Amino acid sequence: MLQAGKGAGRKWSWRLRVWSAILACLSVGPLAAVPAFGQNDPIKVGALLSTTGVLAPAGSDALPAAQIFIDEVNASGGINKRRVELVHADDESRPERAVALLKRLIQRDRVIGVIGPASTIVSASLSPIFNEDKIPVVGCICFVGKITPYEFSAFPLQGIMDTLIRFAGTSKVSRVGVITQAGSLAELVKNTQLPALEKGGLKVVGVEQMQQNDTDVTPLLARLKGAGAELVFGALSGTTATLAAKNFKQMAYPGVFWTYGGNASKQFIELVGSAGDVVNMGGYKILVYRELPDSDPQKAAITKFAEKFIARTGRDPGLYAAFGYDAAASMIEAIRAAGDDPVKIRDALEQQRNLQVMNGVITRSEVQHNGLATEWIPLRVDTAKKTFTMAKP
Amino acid sequence: MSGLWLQVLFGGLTSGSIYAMVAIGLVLIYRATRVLNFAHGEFVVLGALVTISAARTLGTALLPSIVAGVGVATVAGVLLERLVVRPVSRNPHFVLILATLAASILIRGVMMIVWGKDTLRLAAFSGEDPLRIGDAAILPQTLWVIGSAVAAVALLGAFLRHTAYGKAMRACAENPVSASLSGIDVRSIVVLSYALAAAIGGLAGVVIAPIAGIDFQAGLLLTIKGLTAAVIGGLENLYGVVLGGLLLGIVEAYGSAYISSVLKDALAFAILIGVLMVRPQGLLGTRAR
Repeated sequence: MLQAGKGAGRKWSWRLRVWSAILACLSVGPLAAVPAFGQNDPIKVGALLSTTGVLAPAGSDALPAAQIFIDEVNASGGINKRRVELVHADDESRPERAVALLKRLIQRDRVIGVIGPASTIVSASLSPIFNEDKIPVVGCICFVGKITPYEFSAFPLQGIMDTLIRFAGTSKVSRVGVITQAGSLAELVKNTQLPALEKGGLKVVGVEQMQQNDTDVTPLLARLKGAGAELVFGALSGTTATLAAKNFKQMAYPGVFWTYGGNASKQFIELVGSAGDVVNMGGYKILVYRELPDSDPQKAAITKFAEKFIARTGRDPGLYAAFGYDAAASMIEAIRAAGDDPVKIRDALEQQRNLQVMNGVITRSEVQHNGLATEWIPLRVDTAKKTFTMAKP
Repeated sequence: MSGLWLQVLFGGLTSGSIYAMVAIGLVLIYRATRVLNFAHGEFVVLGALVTISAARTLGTALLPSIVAGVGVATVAGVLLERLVVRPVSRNPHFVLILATLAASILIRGVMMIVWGKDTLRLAAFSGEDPLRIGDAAILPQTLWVIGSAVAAVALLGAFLRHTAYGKAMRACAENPVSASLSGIDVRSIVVLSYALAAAIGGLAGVVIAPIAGIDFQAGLLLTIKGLTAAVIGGLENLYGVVLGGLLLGIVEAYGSAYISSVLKDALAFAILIGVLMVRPQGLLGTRAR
């Protein structure tokens, strides 16, 4: 018994040596390819982005975009001649998995900052870890204001109501009916977005709430119509927004339909079908970069990025590609300014002023951890080509 | 305001026809075996998803895709009976119900892996141009759903009344022991009930998928709404079930339009409790013996 064990051990140690030799060769390979960065350790930044599960569409756009930015930084010499390494962890869109992976990124990989996640579904459970371990994060989460001391976001949100107000102006309507989803979204809409609309001179004549699994909301739209709403604001996301748009079209509603730019996805176009022609939304330039006038100051940068993204992934960049790129840009600029210390990086993030990124300009403060101001453009759905296009007033 | 009540009625009919279509299969299995099949909503979703995939592969003609969808749902129904329900059939009813609930979670998981989590859409059968009556509009697809529900009930009624298998099914529903004593193979009749119910469920999925799209987890809610409709209508009466489904949809719609959209689900269940208190056998049900 003992002897057999010994024999097996010898056999294994022989195999082990061969394998470790192969592994050693493999691990030297990439190092040999980048001799310019000398002996310094790379700067490690975590990318906690879901590339599987329900958030995968967002994560699989944001990750390659962040990588493109990091590659650009490395191509121009890195940060103080040190290479930046993006360490990706896929949380599978599960908060509990994200917690374990974040701890691994911090403790094993020793990242000094994190990019992601792309949704509050995941980020909410990570908040205490970022703050206790004092590691700053720039996410792509839909949040404005002071999130928590170590959490930042690069999600364009400011000014979205202004776009709607301007659109209402060009469409010559002033009475707005709102349809939203009962729950936390309805609270957010009532507390922050409706006051902004009223302040902008629009009159909110009705607010209706639908449920996630509704199959027909024509009764609610009929109520808004009865209340005299000329513009229906679908403060909804995903399938609820497509249903509202379809029912709006079905009723031949005498007015215009508006919804969030966050709905701008291939899936939205697919689901909304022929009702796409009623949809207007506050959109992002990246979705229509080919149509931007040459006078647009961001056109060159966005086009260059889009070409790289297409070369890398074989598809057009979606919304979250721009968000991921901007999150990476914000984080890298902070590291450039503050060095290796995560606490100082946090301070640098908070002090970022007028940082030009792809979606706009970031200006943060102690009370504003998002701070990305975007120039929005109204978009429409091109039902024939199945793409988004700039809305012509 | 004049068009409001009519538009609300149309909205209610759309939701209600979906509930009714789902409820028919639930009642069929309940009549044959006294089991509430909590996996019924999964047949509905499975039928729709298979049809959507088939339509994407086959292209233009919708009919072969529908046959494929209904066929797969039927096979799933037979498998559910043979692999899940029959092995535990000697246990009390709640064990059987629990088994179907477990099966529903399993089927949902498999569908998530195969079709992903996105909502998928099927093209409407006869276009999306709504039919207008006065100020109100209704989608042609809604008429398809109502038509399918009525046709399914009528065909089932004829089947149960005029064919040997149908009569055997009714006998089993009445009294399984004496049915088997008079030479009816009760087991095959139970399998037949599951197959029929699953086929009608699959068809339900196909006709409702164009209205609001369908995703892998739509089944549970469909089961619950279908069950509510079935109980309101009387668990044993097929016509009652259609009535119950349409009534549920219409009450929900008027409730959300004239009272509050937040109270929609609460109203539905208030109706359920009300019906159970006043007429425990359901609207068209006969008093339990």
